[in-house]
Amino acid sequence: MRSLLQRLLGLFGRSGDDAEITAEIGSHVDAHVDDNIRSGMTPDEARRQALLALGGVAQTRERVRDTRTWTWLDEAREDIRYAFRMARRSPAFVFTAISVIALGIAATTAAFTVLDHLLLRPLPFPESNRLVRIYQSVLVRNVPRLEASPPNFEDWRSGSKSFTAMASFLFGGVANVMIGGEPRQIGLSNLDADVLTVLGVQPIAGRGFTASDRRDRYADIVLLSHDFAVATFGSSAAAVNRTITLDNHARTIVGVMPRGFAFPTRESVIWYPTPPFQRLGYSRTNLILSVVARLRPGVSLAQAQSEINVIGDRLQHDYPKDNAGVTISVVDMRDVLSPQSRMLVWTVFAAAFCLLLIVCTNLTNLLLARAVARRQEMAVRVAIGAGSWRLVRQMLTESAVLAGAGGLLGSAIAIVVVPLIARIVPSVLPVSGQPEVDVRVLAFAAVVTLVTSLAVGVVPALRSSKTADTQALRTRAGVPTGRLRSALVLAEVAATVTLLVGGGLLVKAMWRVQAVDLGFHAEGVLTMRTVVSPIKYPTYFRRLSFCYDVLNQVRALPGVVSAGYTTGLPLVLGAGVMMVTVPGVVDDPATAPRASVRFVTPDYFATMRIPLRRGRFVDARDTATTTPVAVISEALARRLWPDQDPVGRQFVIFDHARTVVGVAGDIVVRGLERTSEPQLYFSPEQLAPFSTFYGPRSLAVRASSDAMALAPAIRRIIHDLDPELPLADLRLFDDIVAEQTASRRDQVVVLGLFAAIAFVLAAIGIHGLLAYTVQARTQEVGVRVALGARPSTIASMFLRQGLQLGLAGVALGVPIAYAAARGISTLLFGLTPADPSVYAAAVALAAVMTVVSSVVPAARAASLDPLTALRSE
Amino acid sequence: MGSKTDVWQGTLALMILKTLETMGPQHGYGIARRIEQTSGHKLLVNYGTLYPALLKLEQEGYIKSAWGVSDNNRKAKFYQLTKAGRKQVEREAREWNETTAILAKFLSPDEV
Repeated sequence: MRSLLQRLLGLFGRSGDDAEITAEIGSHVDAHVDDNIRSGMTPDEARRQALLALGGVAQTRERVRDTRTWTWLDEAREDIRYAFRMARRSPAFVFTAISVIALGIAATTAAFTVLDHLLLRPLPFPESNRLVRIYQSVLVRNVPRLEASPPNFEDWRSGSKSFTAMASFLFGGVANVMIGGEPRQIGLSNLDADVLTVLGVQPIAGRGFTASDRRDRYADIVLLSHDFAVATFGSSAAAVNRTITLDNHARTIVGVMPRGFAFPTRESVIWYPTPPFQRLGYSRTNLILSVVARLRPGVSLAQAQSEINVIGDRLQHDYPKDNAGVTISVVDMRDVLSPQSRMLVWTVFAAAFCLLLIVCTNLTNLLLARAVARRQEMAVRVAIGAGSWRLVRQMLTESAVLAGAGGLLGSAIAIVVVPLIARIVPSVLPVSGQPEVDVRVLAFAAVVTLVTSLAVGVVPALRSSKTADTQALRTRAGVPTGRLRSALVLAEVAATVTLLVGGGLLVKAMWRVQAVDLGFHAEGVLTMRTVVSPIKYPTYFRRLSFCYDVLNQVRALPGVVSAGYTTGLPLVLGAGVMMVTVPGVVDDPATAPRASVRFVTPDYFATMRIPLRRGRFVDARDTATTTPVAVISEALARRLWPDQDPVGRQFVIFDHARTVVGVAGDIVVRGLERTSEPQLYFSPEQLAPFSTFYGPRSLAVRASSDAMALAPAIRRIIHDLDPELPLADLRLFDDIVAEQTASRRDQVVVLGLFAAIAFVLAAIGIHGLLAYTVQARTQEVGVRVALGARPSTIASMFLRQGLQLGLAGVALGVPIAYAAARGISTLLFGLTPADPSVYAAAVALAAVMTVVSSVVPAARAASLDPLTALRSE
Repeated sequence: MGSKTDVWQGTLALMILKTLETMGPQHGYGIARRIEQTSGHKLLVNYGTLYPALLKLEQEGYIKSAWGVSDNNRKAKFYQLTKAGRKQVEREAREWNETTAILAKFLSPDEV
């Protein structure tokens, strides 16, 4: 190490700089001249002879200078050339080494890219640290981060001074569009006129939305993403002012957003103006708006929060019923990502790193084995004058060449797999789905490559230089015991067990999520939304009768089992959540029971297969002139009338009474991994006094076979009824459910892949070690066989060694795995981090791996011919 | 860089180290003269070739240098073996002997 330092210093000219060399050569010549004069030469002759003997002052200085600067580089070049020569001689080894390194570096780099993209790098907006999201929360009921109601939002905006701008948007659904003759669905969301101001982003072509757009043209204009505009119109400029048919309705493109703009999530491809709030339902209980704001420079998050707290208190006071318990939270935009998601990103990074460690240990082992095989070569090099430092460096150069090639390949793989890993967390951040592989990421890959090359190279290099003495020239005996190699294999097995357990727990957690009882049957159901123009159909009942017309014709289609309309589909659209009271029972408004309200046509229950527990569903008997009735879900029944029959009882909602006629099964509305509130189902004939916002607009159709095949026919029916009517969010309900677990599936794929690679590498590690041991102990085996040992004894000797290693690795790995599992327990959906079946499976897999990878070397040992073995000197 | 030079560099280095071991601290000119004498004036065509070798040995940590005053009262840079250098002389000498012994076996006619 010291000589390395000296060399490096030499490279930067500490010792032997030009002046010093000149002085030294001068002193040499002077000394020689003195000698020559003493032996009788004239001073001139003495100097001439001295310079002649030296070979010239300038030449000498040049030679020294060359040595100083170029020794190092020359030798490096030579080492690299030598490394390549060695590589050509053992292509199998090189191929294995490079692919293994590439896997490790690819995994680590890809995981880092995603980590950087989601957690480290600022959000892609100017001064993004000043961007916040604002939510309504009902903390007493432990309901944080709800959307805001339009009147509340307006009061926040007019009452606060902490923000330069505040704006609202809607998390949208999908729009159907024809791309190249194929119907496709693209993500959309609605923005109000100020969103782009808040974000500090302007369209690269055309313009954004204005206040008058929202009032007069909200259904007629659209903003496109850069990529979509380029794919459809060739360039962003070419798209502006063109029209595009979205959900069967032509809209004018007013602008195109810059590349990478992905607000509010990576799913957003097009943006509509937010309709006027009156259209959305101007009620304090209609929680529908997502709110984004930009802090004024110099105003901290805490200051903004305390100002908004005052507004929140005032709104609670002014609207005690609608805003009971409602507080407001200001959240840094990046913190929208849930702690679970963060944890997950770190987990994947840790798993990738774990994989890299396995790769390093594996490769160190391979190189150690090679170093032993090359002892003679090294000894020869030492004998002809190579310093041990030089040998170490030669070995390090070889590992650096391997790592460099692996790093290049790995970075390329990383670029390919990044999009897969990027999907492991749900899309909630306004960042694009495709992280850019840029200088930061490449720098990271370079550092990882460098560290890898040192990590795998140092130990074998130091070892080989130590053992490369002249002993090795004469004999092959005395190979090292392989204790170090055993330790490395042990570590590999332990790391593999950790990855297997982690992956296994996530798989089991995903199964649990997928096994959640939805309370309804999603398969075979096609869903869509009909967005009826309030201008064309000015009254609610005109719009409702349109729905009936659709239903009647759709039901008549062959292949349709049933069809129903609802205010909003479960898992898709949160309808209003409202307080429910029982006459005579006084509840604290903050903790009073609440349920989400949906107006459904009679066949809706049959279509969704929501079971009836008591009484009857709402049906054609319930009209505007009969008693207002309700079907309530079981959870609400239990909450309002524990242990009593709710049918025939009354409750009050929105200041009017409803009579319970039936109890339906509970369904999941909020998402598979969240608690859902109870449900209320009303007849659409009995809408009053609710806002028309609650009118049915989502259509569910149950098909007897392929539901998607019905789409063209339904589209035609709706088009024939009203050619101008947009049909939105046409999707299979199965897809909606699958979306709920999409992130988890991606997590499982990624971690499963890591675990599988680790598994194979650890198997290679065990196999390699045993094969090496068998080779090293060939003579011993020969002696044993000669003395009468049976092949089975020989085989079991090596098998035992393999099993001991495997067992020790498992013993080390299980506690580590448990510690890691506890770390990620928030991701396990209630599964205990000590889930026995997962550990049993991981241990069993490790056992199988150990046995399988030990069998071949053990069998080879057993089949050794004693004569050959004894002669194997 | 031909292999001849490699071997020459290697042996020259050993000669320098051995010289310093025998004579103690010595300046470049002194080392050169000593090698010339010991080799019976068969080596060191140019004294100048010595200096790159000295620098290399110093970079490798086998020798260290300091300015001092020579017998003739001239300023000169004196080289001296380091601890690592002492070990290196021992090792290289041993290896050299072994290698030459092996080579000798190959070259002596009765062993063939």
